Amino acid sequence: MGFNSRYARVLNICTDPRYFGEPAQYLSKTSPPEVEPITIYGVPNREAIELFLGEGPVSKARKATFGVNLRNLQEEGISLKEGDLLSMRGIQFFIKEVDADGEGGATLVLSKR
Amino acid sequence: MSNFRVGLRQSLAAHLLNKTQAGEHVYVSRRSPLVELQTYPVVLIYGGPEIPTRVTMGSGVYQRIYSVTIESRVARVMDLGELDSIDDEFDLIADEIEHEMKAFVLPGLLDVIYVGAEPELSDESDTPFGSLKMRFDFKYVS
Repeated sequence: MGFNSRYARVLNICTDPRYFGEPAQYLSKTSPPEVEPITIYGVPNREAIELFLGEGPVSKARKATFGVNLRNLQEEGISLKEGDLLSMRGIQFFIKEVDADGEGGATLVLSKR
Repeated sequence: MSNFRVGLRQSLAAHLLNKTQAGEHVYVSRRSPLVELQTYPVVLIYGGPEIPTRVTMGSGVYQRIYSVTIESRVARVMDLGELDSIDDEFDLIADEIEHEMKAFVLPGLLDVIYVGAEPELSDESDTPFGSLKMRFDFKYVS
């Protein structure tokens, strides 16, 4: 089994809802209004970060990401793009960035606005 | 009040308390206990440079211009209806602060001059977040 196959297997396991995967509702920004969101699975994360602005105190904030199996989604005909909508754990986000790892996985960087 | 500048900053905080979007979150410090963005907006008050000009030779009395920054930290943590962007929120709180500053008085204070505002934005967090620094010059004699 080559590296790609092993990595694909790891991605499949990680995004599987029986392990670390959680559902999120995805909707393309180009979808017509009548289209319902699609459920996709991935690994959500909201890590704590510190924001430095000027000379004032540090502000604490969160950075939301959603790790997905890009290859599987593409096989299902889903092409994630910046500006698409993703609802995760009851919070609606926009996809700010699709950071593909080149091996079939991607980290979606999310923003509320 | 032992020091004019200390008293000025404290009086400013008291004056702005519960008069802006920040409500009671008005702090006189660069090192205030800022927590999660859900508590925002907050207003921070801190001092800047002071420029003295001697009034009369040998008197030891100076006319001073003391710069104070009133910084608003704003995060878009909820849908604010008509406010479409963080710039709108900046403008709202800036209007509130400027309005309140017109009514600010303090014994010994000769003049208050609004110098300007500078916005700064961060897109690192999942919640749009920004800072608006408004600078005021306070003229007094001491």
